[in-house]
Amino acid sequence: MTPSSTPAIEVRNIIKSFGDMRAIDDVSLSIAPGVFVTLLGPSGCGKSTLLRTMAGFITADSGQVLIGGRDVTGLPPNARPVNMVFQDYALFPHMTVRGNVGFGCEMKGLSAQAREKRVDELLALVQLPELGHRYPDELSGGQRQRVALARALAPDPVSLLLDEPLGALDLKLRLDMQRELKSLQRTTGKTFVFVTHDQEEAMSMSDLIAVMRAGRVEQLDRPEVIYERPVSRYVAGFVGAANLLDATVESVDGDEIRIVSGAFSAVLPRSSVTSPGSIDRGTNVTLLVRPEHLRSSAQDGHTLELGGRITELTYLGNRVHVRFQTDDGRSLLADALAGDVAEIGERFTAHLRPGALALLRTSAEEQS
Amino acid sequence: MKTLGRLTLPVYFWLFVAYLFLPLLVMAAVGFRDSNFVAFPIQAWTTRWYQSVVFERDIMSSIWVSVKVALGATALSLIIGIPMAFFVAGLRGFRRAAMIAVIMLPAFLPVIVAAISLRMFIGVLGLQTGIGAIIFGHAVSTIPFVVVMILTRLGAMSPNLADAARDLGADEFIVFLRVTLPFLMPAIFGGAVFSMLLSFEDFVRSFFLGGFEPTFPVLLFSKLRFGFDPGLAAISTMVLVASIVIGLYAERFSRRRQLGNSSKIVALDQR
Repeated sequence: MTPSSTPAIEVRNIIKSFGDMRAIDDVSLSIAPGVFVTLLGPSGCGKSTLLRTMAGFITADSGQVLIGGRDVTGLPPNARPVNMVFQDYALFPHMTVRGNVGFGCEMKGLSAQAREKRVDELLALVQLPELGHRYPDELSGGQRQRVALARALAPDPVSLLLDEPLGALDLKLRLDMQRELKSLQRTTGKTFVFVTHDQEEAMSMSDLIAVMRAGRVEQLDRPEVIYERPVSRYVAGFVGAANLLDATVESVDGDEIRIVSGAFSAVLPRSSVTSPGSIDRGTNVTLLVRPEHLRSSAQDGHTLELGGRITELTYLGNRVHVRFQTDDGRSLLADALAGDVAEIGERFTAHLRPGALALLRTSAEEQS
Repeated sequence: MKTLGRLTLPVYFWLFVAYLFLPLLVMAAVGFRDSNFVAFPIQAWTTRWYQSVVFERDIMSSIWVSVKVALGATALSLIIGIPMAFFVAGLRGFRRAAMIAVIMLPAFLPVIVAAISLRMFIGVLGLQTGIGAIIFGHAVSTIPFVVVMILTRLGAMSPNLADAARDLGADEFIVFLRVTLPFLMPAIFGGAVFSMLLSFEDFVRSFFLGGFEPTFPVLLFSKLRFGFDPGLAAISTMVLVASIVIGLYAERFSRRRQLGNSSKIVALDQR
């Protein structure tokens, strides 16, 4: 194995329970160096627990944690070459910005001179060179966020672990910080493991997203794959807006799958299937139709139609979100051009391209 | 009616201020009276009472006893109170509430009862009355305040703070020394000053537990038995001023470090 192919962080078969609740249920992940990976999921899905297990604050019941190829499973946080950015930043209130940023280097035993140099570098990196003498309570939220980043990066960790660090910021600042965080990751070339429940945040920053559910990683892939080819109804519904249509497989004929969903039926290529497991006649499936797949005007390949009465219109400048109710009683969301749409109560016909749709096996507990 | 309402509250406030400060002002003034008797108004003024106090051996030595007692009681209440606060901070629910109730009990015990019980206890143990006994007696009453102040501060400390330090390479000892202790400093300082003032002004416990060397309040009391003289007013005034200065400084210091921090954070976040 060449050094470059050694994962920055690897967890193997991690299991962690709190009482009866299994917070992490046999998770294995391998994160390549220099990658921005996001652990995404609702609260209670185990994402923060997994991050804290990597950092060493939580000891797993079983399984291994490897950092830079070295087994650190039994080591405390202060002996692991990763650093964490906390949601509340956890800056030391009695130390100046310089004291905070230099703390990790001090613990590593760097000389005062080397430490000062490193602090200067980091403050320049996060664009706060002139605020070194301030105390955390004299900084704005965004500035504190940057100090927390500088402090975590200063000891030159293998990887940065970020636990919902943007959660406390208002929307505009959050968007700015998303861009900065991403560019910081590119500049430093460090592996970032980022935890969030915000799917838009995850989509805009990540190289890879691990969608978590009830202590398991449901899908680990690039954002566009997570969005376009989710492996489950849960992932499809969690990431982006989605119309999820219950359907049944009527027949499978070579490469073609015919499905029926109420009054709607379609023939889809086998490549539409994104979830594991076999698809046969009678299988319960879910058809994923993203709002942007429902076009107000037909173009090449838009061989399918879904129509209904408009119940709600949301104007977004040049686009309109159209909610309409099909004749068999389903409520769907379409993303249309503003000029193409009539009034509430009138008919709306949406056009679809079969190849754009994703077909998912519906698991037993998801059947409605 | 409106004017009346606007005037009533300030009037009440200033009445209270007068009620509080007039006796003290009279006392301070009497100390300047050029006479051997306490009376008002003052016809002839002198600073000799204030000057003489400084040269009175028994007063100075009693103040020294009181200072030793205050320092001893404060040190003892910190040594016992800080670990107690950590112990209680680790508890939850009923156990925590019960522990806090037990810790607070000495603060609500009638002082005279506490003093008598301590005096008897010392007798049963066969220990000597004196400075040591007073220190123990005072620490019992000041520990509750130290524990509560430190507990409050600990409650305001994000658990992530210690985690952050550990994450950056600090072991448990360094975390305590470099993060937890400095964070608690305002509370420790406030608790210490409060203990010292409480101990310094205590009369009842010192009276019951004291030996041959009286504390300052006990000495004052014994002097009163020979009647008031302006010298008592002078020394009382000096002690009062010193207590107010120390108390106000401590209050300001701990408020700036504790409340100041958190309120500023809120203000910045709302920006």
